[in-house]
Amino acid sequence: MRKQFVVKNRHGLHLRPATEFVKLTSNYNGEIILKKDDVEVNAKSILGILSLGIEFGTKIIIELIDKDDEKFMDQLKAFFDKKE
Amino acid sequence: MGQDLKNEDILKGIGISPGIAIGRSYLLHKPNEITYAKKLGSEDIPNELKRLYKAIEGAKDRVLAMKSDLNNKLDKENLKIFDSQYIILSDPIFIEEIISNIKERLVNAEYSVKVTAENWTYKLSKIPNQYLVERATDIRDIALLIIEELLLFGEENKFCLIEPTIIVSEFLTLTDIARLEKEKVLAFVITHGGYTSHAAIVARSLNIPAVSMIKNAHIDIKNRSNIIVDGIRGYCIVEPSKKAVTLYTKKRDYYKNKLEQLEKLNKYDAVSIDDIPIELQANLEIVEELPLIKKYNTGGIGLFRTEYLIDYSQNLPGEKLQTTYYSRVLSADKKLPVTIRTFDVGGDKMIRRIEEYNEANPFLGLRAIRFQLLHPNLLRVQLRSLLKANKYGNLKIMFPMVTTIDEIKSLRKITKEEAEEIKKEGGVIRPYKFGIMVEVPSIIFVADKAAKYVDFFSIGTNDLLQYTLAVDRGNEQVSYLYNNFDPAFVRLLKLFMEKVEGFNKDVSVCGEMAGDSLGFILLLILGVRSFSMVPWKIPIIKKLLSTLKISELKEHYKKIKDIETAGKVEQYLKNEFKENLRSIKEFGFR
Repeated sequence: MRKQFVVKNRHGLHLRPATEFVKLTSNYNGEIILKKDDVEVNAKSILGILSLGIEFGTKIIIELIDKDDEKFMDQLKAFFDKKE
Repeated sequence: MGQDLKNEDILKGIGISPGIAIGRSYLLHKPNEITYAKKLGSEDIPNELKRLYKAIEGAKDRVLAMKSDLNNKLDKENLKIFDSQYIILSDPIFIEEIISNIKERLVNAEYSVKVTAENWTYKLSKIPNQYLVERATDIRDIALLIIEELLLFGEENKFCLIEPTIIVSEFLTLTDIARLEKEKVLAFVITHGGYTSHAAIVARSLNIPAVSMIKNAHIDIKNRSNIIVDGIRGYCIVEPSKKAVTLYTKKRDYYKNKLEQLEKLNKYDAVSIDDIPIELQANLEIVEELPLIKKYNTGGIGLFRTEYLIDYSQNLPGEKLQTTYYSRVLSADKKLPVTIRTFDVGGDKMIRRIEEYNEANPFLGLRAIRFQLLHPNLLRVQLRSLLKANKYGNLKIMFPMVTTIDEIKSLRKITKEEAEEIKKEGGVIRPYKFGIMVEVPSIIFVADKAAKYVDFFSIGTNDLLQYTLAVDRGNEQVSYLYNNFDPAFVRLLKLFMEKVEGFNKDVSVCGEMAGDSLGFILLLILGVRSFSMVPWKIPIIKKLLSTLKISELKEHYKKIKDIETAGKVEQYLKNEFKENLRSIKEFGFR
């Protein structure tokens, strides 16, 4: 399953929020892809995420490869909605 | 004392943590020095991968250990660095790349870690918004962790210091400090890293002397050299003579002893021998310094610079970020006044927008409020953020480089408009003070007029002196003119005090002169009763103050006003206050 999110953190996905994000994705048992424009990275790789330079307002797509998990997507939504 | 050091090999830098140390140097190794490529045979690969996995796990353990080690010494925000390091050490892509480098290039793990880290440092440096990856650029530091695990293998995690040692390094990270047995560290000598680097802050809070900006320190100083570190003057003396060692041993012991006495002074209030209270406040630059206002029992913050906010991206930050930042500053002590200066950009502090104007003479050009009044939207964002962050009513807003009354009126108007705007949006405006820096001579001549529009004045002696004598202190050929005791400057200060007399406005001094013993005395003579300085000088100035009889000081001006040269003014003060100065002489003060 895949879903689009908008990054609401005012300062973008810099080191600290990216750290929190990877803590979340590490809980998912399986492969996750994060997509910005046409570039895909492993959503469990903090360096991969940082290298995309995700700023405030960026649209990104998360794709769960191995198994669907609505609850997990909700957690991600709550994360991306955070402003700080 | 200058005479005594004539024949010594002195490396000069800046003091980033005061104190004196004498001991042997120990050079902290960095990955680029110790990491070399070693060719492996394909049969070595399984074993090399095992080494790598073990090292990564070891490095992770170390990060956790460092975090718990510094748990009480750093605040929550700073501790999060370790979480990020842990996550980077667990990064699947990073580890995969290290592995494939080992397998494909047939090189040792140390080298593979190094090139992988370099590759990612490069990749992240290409992102347009550098703020996003600001702290992540420390991948080198993380690579170092793994490499040291590879090299140490199974040994004790900490750097093993055999004896109390002076650490010499090109740069110093928080993790470096965490890995050291701090009770065995006498001092730090660093090639790069300013007064506000994390390492400097930690060094100061641990009371470890440190000097920085010493060119090629890590190359020129050999391992296990005898060195003296003078964190007060920013000196490092390599292989000193017996005479210098004797001199500095005395200085060190004296300083230590006095420091202990001064620590005791922190609990007292700043009063003169005749019981007149004097305001001693702190000049601060970054939020990590905020605990110092309590430590030194200060009367608040007399100058909080905001330029640090601009450093990362060279762009001015947005309202939310600024509000959060100022809230932290203002809540450091809710009862004490906190003076926050608006962006003092231009001059030697450039940002991209100003560079676009390409000035021939930046110190006379588009600086500080001149820039902000030209771009009022940026000023408005800062003012809104300040007013919103003012939850306890202890905010003093200070504007730098004010030249005319017109400017003050504009600034007042804009500030009021923003306050009204916030109220309209349903926000609350708590009491705040509106004030200006006195650093352009023109404002002194109309200070009686300015007094009608401001709540306070703060004299920035550094720039005021530079503009009064038309001299650039950085230019060695003319810097002899740059002297706080210049009779014209003294008279100008006196003129200012006379102009504002009777208006009942707070006047303080936040320039370097405030924290200089003779300068401090001269300012008291001129009638100044409020001072702001770098925090560590406060106990020393407090000590000096406790020997001075304020009620008698005024008389000295009658003599000083007729002295014709800077040198003689200085000499006069030295003679008249010989006894008082003796009480603080040991701290490296003149």
